[in-house]
Amino acid sequence: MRRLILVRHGETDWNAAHRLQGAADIPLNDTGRAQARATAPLLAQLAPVTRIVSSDLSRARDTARIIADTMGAEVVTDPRLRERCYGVWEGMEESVRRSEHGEEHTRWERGLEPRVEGYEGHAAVAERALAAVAEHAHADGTHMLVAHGSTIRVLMCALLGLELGSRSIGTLGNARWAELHHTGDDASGHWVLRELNAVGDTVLA
Amino acid sequence: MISLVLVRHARTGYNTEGRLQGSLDVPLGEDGLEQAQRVAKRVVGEYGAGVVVATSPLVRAAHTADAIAELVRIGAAERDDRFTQRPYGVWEGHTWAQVREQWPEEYRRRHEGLDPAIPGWGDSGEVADRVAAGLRDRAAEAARTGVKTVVIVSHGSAIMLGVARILGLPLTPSRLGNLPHGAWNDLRWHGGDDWRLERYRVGR
Repeated sequence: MRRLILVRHGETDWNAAHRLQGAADIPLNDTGRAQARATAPLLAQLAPVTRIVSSDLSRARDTARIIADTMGAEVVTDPRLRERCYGVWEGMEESVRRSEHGEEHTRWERGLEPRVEGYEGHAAVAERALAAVAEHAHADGTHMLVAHGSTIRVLMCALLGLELGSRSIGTLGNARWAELHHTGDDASGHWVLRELNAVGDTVLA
Repeated sequence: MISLVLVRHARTGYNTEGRLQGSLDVPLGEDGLEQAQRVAKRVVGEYGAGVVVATSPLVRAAHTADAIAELVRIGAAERDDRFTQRPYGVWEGHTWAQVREQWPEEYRRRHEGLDPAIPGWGDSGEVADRVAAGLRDRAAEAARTGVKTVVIVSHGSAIMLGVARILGLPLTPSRLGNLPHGAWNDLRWHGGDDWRLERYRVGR
């Protein structure tokens, strides 16, 4: 049986301002670091691992390092776990997207691909994220990946057999995680969602 | 936006013994009543006192729900047949070990997550449709009456099937993991067909 723990990085200033980051390498802020430090012992108890694989963007990598320090694990980075590229939308606040790119923003909110220059579509994100899972989480046991909101959501849709653009599965909060299990071999088995955003604001900073 | 907080009832003596209940109306044990109180505090702590509370009519769910209703001072929770448990037919009252011994073939099917062909078993599709209809209805009613959160106490299978149906996930084998007693899911309705599972297996 494979256990997959997907962790979203802690908060950054752009998260707080509702600005899309995508490939932009925005660092964790103080809240983000505190969130990671609060999450670490919970994950150490839930899913102790000796290796954490993380997106190489610093907000994910530093979240992974904080968690890894608590468990005595090593961190390995993989660019295939990076956030979806949002092209010219990167850095844009939600209010600006709504007001100046209303039609495309509406399409995006409904799970359709917005026609935005440099935007990385669902299929591309799913393909690289699935490849990372296939490489790092193919063996029985527990695997922990640290990544980003959109990438994790699209990955979960792919693993659970939903349309890649589906909004049925919620986006992880900062420093929150999802847990999935896979039983059976690759041919006959399937992924099961065990836990999603289970830990609330009352527990994490 | 409406939140449906789907809570699995507290433990009964049958749960502790590993006996299948289904439509059997088994009451909460001593520890179940205490668990219901703890769950009530956590749910109200999380969602506030402005919640509406509905429940499966089976007492293990209804008494769990009443603990929540009491805390928010709305009397008893509203009984709603659509949230009752899947019937387990001739397996009700047996333990899984007994089931495996007496119905080895059907046990194997069930273990693979499929519906066993036994008398009285509630078909997954039918249960899913029933629960989903209840969820949609409760969400619409909440929207009409200005209620933000509806707490619904129900049963493991019923909740999993209803959520899967709403989200468009396959029913058998399930793509959603087991919900422990007293734990809940947060399913949000954004109008129309826009349903999002925001939180799964909270409060374990």
